[in-house]
Amino acid sequence: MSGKQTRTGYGFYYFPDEEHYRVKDFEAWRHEFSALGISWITLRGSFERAIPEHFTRGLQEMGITPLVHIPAKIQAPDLAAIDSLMHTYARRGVEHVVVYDQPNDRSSWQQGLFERQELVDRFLDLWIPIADTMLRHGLRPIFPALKQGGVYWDTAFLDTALQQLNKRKKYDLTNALILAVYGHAFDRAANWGAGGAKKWPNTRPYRTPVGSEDHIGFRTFEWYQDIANANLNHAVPTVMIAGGAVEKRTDGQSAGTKSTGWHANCNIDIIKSLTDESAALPSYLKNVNFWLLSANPNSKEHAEAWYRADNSVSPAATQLKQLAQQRKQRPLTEKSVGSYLANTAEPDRSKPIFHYLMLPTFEWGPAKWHWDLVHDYVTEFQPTTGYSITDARLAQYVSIVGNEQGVSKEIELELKRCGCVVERIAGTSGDEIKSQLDGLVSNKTRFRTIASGNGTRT
Amino acid sequence: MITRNDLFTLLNTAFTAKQPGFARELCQAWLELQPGDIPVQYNLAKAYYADRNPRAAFNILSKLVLIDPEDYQIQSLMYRVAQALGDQDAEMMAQASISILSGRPKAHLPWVTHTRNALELLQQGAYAQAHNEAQLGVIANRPSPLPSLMLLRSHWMADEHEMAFPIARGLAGTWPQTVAIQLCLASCLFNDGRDADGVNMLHQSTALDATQQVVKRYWGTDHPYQDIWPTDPDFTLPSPVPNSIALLLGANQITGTVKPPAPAPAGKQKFQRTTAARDVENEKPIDISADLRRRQPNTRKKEQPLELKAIHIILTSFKKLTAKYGDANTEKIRQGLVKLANTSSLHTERKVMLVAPDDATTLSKFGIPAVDADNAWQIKTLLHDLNSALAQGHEKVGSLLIVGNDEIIPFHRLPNPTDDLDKDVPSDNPYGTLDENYFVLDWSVGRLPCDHSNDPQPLLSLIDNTIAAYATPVDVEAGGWWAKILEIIAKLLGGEESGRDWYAAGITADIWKKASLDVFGPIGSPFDLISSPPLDLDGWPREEFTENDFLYFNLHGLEDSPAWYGQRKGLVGEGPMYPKAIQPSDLLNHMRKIPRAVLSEACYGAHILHKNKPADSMSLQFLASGTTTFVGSTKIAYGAISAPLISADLLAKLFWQRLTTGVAAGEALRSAKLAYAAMMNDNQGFLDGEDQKSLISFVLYGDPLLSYYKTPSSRAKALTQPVSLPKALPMCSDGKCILPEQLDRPDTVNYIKNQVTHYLPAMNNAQVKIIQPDLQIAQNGRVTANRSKGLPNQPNHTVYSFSRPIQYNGSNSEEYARVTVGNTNKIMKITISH
Repeated sequence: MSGKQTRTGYGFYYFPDEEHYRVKDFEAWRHEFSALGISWITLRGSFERAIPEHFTRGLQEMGITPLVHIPAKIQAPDLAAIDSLMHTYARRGVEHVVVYDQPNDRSSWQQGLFERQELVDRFLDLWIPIADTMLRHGLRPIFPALKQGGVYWDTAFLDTALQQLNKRKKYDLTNALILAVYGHAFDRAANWGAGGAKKWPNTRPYRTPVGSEDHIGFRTFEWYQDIANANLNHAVPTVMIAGGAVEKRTDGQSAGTKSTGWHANCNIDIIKSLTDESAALPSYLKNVNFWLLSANPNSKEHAEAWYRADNSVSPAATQLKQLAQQRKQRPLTEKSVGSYLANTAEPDRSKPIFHYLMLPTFEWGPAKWHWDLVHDYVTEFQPTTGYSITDARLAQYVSIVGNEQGVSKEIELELKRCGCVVERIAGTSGDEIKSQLDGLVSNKTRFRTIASGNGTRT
Repeated sequence: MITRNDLFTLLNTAFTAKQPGFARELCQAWLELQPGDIPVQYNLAKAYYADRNPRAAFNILSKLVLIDPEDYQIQSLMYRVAQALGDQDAEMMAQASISILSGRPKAHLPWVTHTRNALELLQQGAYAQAHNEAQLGVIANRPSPLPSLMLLRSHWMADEHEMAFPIARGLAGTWPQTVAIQLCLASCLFNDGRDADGVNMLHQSTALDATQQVVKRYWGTDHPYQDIWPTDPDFTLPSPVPNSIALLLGANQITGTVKPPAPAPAGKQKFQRTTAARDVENEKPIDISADLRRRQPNTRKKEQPLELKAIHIILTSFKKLTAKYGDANTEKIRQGLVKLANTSSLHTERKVMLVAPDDATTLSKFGIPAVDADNAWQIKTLLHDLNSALAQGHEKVGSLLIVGNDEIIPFHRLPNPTDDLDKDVPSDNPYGTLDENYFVLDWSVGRLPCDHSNDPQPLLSLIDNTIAAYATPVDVEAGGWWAKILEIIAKLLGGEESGRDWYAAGITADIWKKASLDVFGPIGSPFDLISSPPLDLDGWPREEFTENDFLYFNLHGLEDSPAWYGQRKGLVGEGPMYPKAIQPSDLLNHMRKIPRAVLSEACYGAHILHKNKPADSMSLQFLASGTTTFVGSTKIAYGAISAPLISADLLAKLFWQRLTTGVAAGEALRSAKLAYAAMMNDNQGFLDGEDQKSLISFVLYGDPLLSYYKTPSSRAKALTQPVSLPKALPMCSDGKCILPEQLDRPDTVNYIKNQVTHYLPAMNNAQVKIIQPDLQIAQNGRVTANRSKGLPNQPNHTVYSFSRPIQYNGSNSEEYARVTVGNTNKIMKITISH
């Protein structure tokens, strides 16, 4: 069994069916998973049965995060069955389960139900009980991915849904919410729509003026995030069900199909942006899963698969393997982890501890001297204070006191990997550290470098 | 798989085949898949209506008129359904909407007029002016989205989004289902950057208007939101197609293809007579019995008695006309009557005879001696004899036209069956009966009256106008049965609204508005019935009354004044209690077009005795101005305050129902009286004083054979079917007056008075007479004391007769209210005098 993958942040949509979860399927694909360097994978599931444990456990042991995708027809759910399903997934450590798919599209609803009034409200009436069930089992609710554009414009749907969740005072959901998103690039460049609505203010639902760009491309997540921020006042973690350039797809958004080379280049550009600090992807985007790893030869999706039944492989897959190989040869640095680990002012608001002040501990244990250093700071800001990385992981903001001899760089990186916003208050001497801390106290500023973390709790 | 086109083909065929149940099934199944399909919802309502379930149709239409209030078909169907349900409010609102959308019937209510004006101005692009008109329509605050929609459109169409936005927002709260408002609001929301709300509003529209019926009207078919709207669903038939429908579709023909017969050439053809007009003066009865025997097959069937052929009699006294007008004028009148006779015969295919009761030469061929033309009963007897003589030639008196006033051929003076101040009741009823029972007519009777002056012109004009009225081509619809089916299909599909090719208006005393609306229903829309007050002579609706074919009046009248008066509803209010509503000079000054037929319930509405000129009587003035049918009461008439209709109100409604289905005027009044008698007998078991008076006091001034509406409809036949009346028709006459102490409960008088003053506050100080009526029987042509074993000895009710003096602008009169109370002190009816 391979060791855990380095967290690359990208992956694939496995198969568009539930027929490939046998032991031999896992064995057949695990080497490719490793070669491709994926750390995420979307698995098609259903209400009827859970994905076999051997499959999900195998992935987890490889360091690959399974994202279970249940694109069931939108109708009144069997909550008892769903309760059992979520219990099963939670017990198995599967943390990401997305129920329903594209509720803003007619095809997702029974005939005649889409056109009835108050579509978003009716959807929430069906989805909220499922989300509550997930919360009960320790799973974070994931708002299903919307069809980019769609019959009911997706940005409007999301906006209305989040507004309604607030109106219904479902703060437990909104505080733990994750957004699922599609990031299909269609025939557009990977940075199409970058900047969101702020950069493209003339774009309106169903109408994109000439010279303007919209959200229907890879960067849909940016536009959704702006909406989430506006409604919930905080960033919302986002998982990509499927995205990237899709080979040989003709869709209504574009003029036609693109070449295989374009497909490869676009997707590689996307992957590079995961690691390129200058073109960083935001930290709230947890993953990029490319569509589509493979499909049955008689399925309509087969032509879009990177791995086909005739054993041909998309050039993009080949390039991806090369990149993965190169990455393995490079040490893990903060830069190489990319903006996924970047120190942005966007903490994971679901963490129960707001601010953790981490003090160094040594072979001989903690030092009283450090307690004296931080006394005034602790009195002023009352952060949770301690030495435990386990506890620190639960914090949104972590202030590390001291240099890397006391709290190592690896620990700092690990905390960042866990989604903490980390700041180190270090100096050449204790006085210098004390001076920095006293300065924060006198300015009533909790952090030195974190802009949004000025002591305001959400 | 059934396409949308297929669906509508099936629906249309289902209606044609009179299979509304299948049509309903189709619509319901389709709407399961596409609930916001407006045309299919409309068809579902139509199917319910055709299936005699107007309530279900109403429930659907109530929503549709809000979703798309600009859909004429929906409003039109709603109007019919509301009528069927008797929902006056809904009927009124639908009628108003129809007026707004089509401009017909011409609106009277200000808010309707303003809204219609706004619509027309919007169509012309005059948005600012449309805004002003629409505002005036909105101010009335009627429960219709149309005025508000016009106001919104005045800004929306002018691209004034900043103005349209707040209006649309407000209206969306008031009319959340109206798609047009939603579309405007969506546009404004997008313009305002509120994309989520705009998209939500568009989605609401797709839910309500799945086929873009309203969307296409405003945005056409090339708008950026096309994809939002659904395509046709995958639809399969819910059940097999019934054979009758399949047959029409040609789906189950065994051999070949059966094509429907080619429809007859479209359009209407003028009815042409090919026979020459007959010379009625030398008319002899034709013996057709031999001819009939030749035509009958040689069967062993028992020979059935031949039906007598109806003859139209024109009755006048040329001697008296000569005495009144002189020889020359009488000759003109005679020539006019000959021409009238020929015209009448030509158009009605009825033989016409000119009879002078005091001229033996016109009667000798029948062996009937002349009679005294001043003696109404002798004239009546003459008609009996004439009828008997005609029977020998297999003919009978079918209708009677009396020419001249009381001086020429006198009215019968019948005893007043009520206790009001009328000494007697001038009536033509006895001229229409074969016996002494003058309540039930055997043939229709009309009169061409004149005034008491020596001026023949009004009579000559009346004759000429009557001839001209006949001369209007009688349209016969071309084509055979297939053309009829096409017509039915067109009507069922909500095509051109049939049934009202005329215009009608009316004036009612405000206190009787409810009853009047019920009467007016068959001929006009509620908006065309004006109340007085507020109407008075200063506010006379000149324009509104110039284009009407029929006029209806339910006002007060006086014996010694020609004007008619309204009456305020309550004791307290602005203006006079009885404002003058109309007078003869109004006809001369204001009316460009004189109505063909007028019915007035006013007391003395048809009183012409001793009237020296047309201006002395509304009825004479109408006739002199060109009206050719006038129905009114010669004495005090009675009616109801509200439903149920009784007395003159009921008679008027029955008359209008018949006249407007093509029944000739005389037959319309005759069969209305028969129907009235039958209804009263059914409802209360007898005809009381007011009933009897209604039957005898209402007369027809005009040719009884004149009809006004195309070819009589099938409904006309139904309305003039023989009425079943008991052989012994119970009649109550006012018997003796009794004192309150003689009642079982003397406090009943106060109780009854309280009830009456509830409706008529002014009766609080009225005099009361308590009358125990006598029960008589009209049987075998006579009205006699009740010796019938099947009827009680005495009637089981008491009549409380209230009277009080009133003044109409200086003229004195009495107002009466008669309350019929049953033995348990339950009020059976209240009639009030007009």
